[in-house]
Amino acid sequence: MSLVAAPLLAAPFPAAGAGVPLATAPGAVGFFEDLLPFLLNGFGLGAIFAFIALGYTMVYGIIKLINFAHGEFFMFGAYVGYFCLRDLELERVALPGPLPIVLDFLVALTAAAFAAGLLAVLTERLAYRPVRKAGRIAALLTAVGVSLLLQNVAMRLWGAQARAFPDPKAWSRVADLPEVARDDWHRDVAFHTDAGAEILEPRVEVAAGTRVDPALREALAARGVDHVYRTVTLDRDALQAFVLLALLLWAPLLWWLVKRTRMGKAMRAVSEDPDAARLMGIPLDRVVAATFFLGAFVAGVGGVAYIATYGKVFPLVGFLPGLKAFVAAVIGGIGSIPGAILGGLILGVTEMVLPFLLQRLAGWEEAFAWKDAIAFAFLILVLVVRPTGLFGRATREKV
Amino acid sequence: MARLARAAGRGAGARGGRAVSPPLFETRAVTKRYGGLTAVRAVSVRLEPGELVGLIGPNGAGKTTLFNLITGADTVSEGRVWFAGRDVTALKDYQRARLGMARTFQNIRLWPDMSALDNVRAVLAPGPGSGAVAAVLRLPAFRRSEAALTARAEALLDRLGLRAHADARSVDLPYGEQRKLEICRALALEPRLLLLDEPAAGMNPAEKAALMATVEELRRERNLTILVIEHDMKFVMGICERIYVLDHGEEIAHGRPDEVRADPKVIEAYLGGGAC
Repeated sequence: MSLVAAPLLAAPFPAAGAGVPLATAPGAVGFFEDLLPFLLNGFGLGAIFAFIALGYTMVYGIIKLINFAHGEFFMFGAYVGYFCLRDLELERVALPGPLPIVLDFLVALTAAAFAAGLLAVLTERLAYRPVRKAGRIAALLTAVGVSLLLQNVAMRLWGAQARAFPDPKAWSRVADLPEVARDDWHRDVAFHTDAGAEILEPRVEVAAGTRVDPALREALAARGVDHVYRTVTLDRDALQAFVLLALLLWAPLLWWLVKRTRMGKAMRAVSEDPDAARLMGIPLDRVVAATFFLGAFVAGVGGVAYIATYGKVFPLVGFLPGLKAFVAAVIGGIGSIPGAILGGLILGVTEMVLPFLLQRLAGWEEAFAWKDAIAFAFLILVLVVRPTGLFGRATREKV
Repeated sequence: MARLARAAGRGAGARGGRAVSPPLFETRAVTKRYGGLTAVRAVSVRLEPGELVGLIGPNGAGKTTLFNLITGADTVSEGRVWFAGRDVTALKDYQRARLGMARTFQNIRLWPDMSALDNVRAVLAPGPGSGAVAAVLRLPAFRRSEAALTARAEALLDRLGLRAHADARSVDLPYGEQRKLEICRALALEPRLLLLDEPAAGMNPAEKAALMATVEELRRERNLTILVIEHDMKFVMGICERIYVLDHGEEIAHGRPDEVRADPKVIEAYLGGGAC
């Protein structure tokens, strides 16, 4: 029985694309074949930006607050999703085929969404509401403070170390194993680090090719092992396609909620004149809380999608995606829901495809190392051309 | 202290001369201080059901402050506010609004980018089947409730002659129509007490006359009790049954229009100290 390292997925940031060797053969077919994965990666990343940008834009739309802690709601959702996937072991539910893993993900996504939503409501109640009347600078500084606070709380609670995204596990009863194992089957062993954190280390109990004879079955049973699992490596392309699909389903629903429902009308009324809204019987505090909840709910989903795609969760995981999602919201026109989605997709694709083009067409070898700078330069360019963003409206001065 | 306030409230009602039924609305010696400045001092206003009462006074007399205290937009420093038989002093503004206390604003405060119809629809109380779950699933109950809401909003717009503007952004409406839409939106709360803050400001005499007639009709149709702030003396004297006069945050006179008009204190407040 040999010890194997926990399987790591890709690097934490999409910079992984930089390592992809580019074919040197000229010609249009080769070019587009090479471009395609970058395009797909761009849309996948952009969908996640869009998920986060929705919350920025909704909260800004309603109380004109740039909620810098939004990236931390995303981070919190990612951790909750991580713990669900690692510890709930819902994959062990006896269902056929990939259904246990699907169930596991659905539960993790739901838990992450609700947890992030509740954290946002709590934050709004404890931190933002008390300073709402103190002006926008006070609120902005509070948001920066909350962001740092949540990052540090996460470090205290869960450590500063990045944790690898737990690969989904397909479980099997030892009794059901074939005569000769075709995969590596594992069972976890827990041990404690010097810092006291519990680490679950997968041990290969049954390596591929091992003959599963009665003696081995008995040996396993003697150690209390009746179930073993094999890890399933998620296909990143499929994952990204799935995230994009989720965005395309969820975004119109959200937009419709805001445009058509009573809560949506209340949100618009609050955004256009909060005092008048209150005096017309609209409970401002509840509407604001609902907005925070919805925005963070979506971000929680984005958080799980992000760590599933890029493989790691750590306390600062929300920082860069959060910042970029804010950029996406600004590109789209902050306050606008379709703008946030379009802005997210545009930024994701730009970040992936623009360095590719610069490398390929302009011969700039280091383009991928500069991808964040390129993304922010793109933001500046958009704002020079359209200061209010793609869907933004010039704000009227109140007389 | 509380007993004193109550006595003051009763006194005001007795002077009004109609204190038979319990009042629909009452302020009992409300006071508002901002730092050292007293904007409203021990003002007691009492409205019987169905009354149309005016609130007048020179600029800075505290009329709008009093409105804010009544609606809960601002908190009182002292005194109590009673509405429909209960003490609403501790209630928040939106809670008071839901109890049936609606107002319009001196400077128009519609939701500018929302259509006239949505301005009204956002305020209407929802019927059954309008919850978020029903909305997301687009249940038939939700559609029915939406349709009913729209019909009610359209009926209200119709009543004030705004049907043609239903889909226009409220900010694009002509000024006079915006004032009417504010009344429309206030009526969407199905109020018992309607507070009008200078409803005729900026209107020409013909529009004012039409508005006066409309307000009078609405009061009868909907059993409204109305308190109106207005600078236009003709408007106030024309439709109000009683008038309270404020100056420097205090009530200086109160009574029927002809009594108030003849009151030397009122004349002095309006024309300045030397005019008597």
